[in-house]
Amino acid sequence: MWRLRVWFRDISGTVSYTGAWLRSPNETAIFAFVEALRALSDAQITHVDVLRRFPYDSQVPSGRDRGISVLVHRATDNTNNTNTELDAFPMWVPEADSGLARDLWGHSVLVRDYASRAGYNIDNPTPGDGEPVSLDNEYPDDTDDYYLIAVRRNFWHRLLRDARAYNTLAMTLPDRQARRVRLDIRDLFLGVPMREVLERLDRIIELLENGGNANTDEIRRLLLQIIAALGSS
Amino acid sequence: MALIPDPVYTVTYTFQDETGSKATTQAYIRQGIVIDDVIARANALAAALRNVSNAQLTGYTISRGWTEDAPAGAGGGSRVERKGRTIWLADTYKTRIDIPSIATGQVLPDGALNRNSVQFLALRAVLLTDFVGDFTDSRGVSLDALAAAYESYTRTTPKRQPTRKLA
Repeated sequence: MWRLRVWFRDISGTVSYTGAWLRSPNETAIFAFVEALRALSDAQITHVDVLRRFPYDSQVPSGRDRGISVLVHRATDNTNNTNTELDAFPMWVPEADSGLARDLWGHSVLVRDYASRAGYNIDNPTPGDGEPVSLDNEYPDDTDDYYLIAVRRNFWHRLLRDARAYNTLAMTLPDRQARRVRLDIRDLFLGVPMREVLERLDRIIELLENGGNANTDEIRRLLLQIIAALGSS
Repeated sequence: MALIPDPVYTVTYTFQDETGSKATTQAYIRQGIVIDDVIARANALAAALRNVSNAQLTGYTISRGWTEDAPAGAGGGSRVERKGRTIWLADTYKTRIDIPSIATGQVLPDGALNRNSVQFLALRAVLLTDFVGDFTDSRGVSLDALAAAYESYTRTTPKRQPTRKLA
């Protein structure tokens, strides 16, 4: 069954919701229900959502090293099909190595109708055209449809290696993806004493965004500081 | 004032590793396709994720949202803790739908809701007659009658309180 929730806020700012069960997410029925509630309540309706959980019969888990692959896929204009890049979509895959995860979006059937959070296209990556890029020894270029980043959280030596490559990747990405990767790094390191690293990363991104005339010596110096900070953590 | 749909369906996949630790990841599917196709795409991606992860994929949740573009504003004195509690029957089983901050004009002096008001009859029609089979209880059995309707109060969790706290 689908769970419909209608969210309210009263004059004090306190939030509450009411729910109903639906056999299907029929938009006409949902809107009629919302309008009926609107007439009965003197709080304001702020938003509505409907959701359903599907159990999935999967394999027994066989890993615990917290390896994570992150796919960053470019998202393009879907209104006039200009292929203009407007967004980037990162997807984290727990317990996956880069070799397997790189196959995830490379299948045109799977990616049909998938979108970034803002609703832009991420379909039509041609398998084999624009290979996904792992951290270890590959770097993206303008022809790449999507990028693959592998991160392991539990092992410092791997973190050191991956963070180095991750940062390098952020530097080589177009601005939009670079910003998204930077946010990912921030999420990844939350709770870990990485303030200095983040500050330097911000500076690197700033340098790269300033007209493409980045001072490579300055970037190299900042990267070395990041690596030193990682090693001493 | 209108409900504006989010541009995508959100699919949240949940994983569990060998130690029992859990993780989630999300994908998005464009609006404008029928729900069966959305489920099919979510399921196809589930199969792909299962193949690339060593963790167990325990399930996924599909959600869709709408946001009010210009909320009308809450009425003076409205409090969401004051509920209009309605109890509906689904083949003798009961299911509850609360109406936060029920308008005071809907409450009779004895605490019952006015079941004959235009507004309440409209809600009743939506749930029982206008969309037969759409509204159900949690088992999926259609609602078929109203059992009770009265004013009630409930507590608010700290998370849902406003950020402003008076001394």
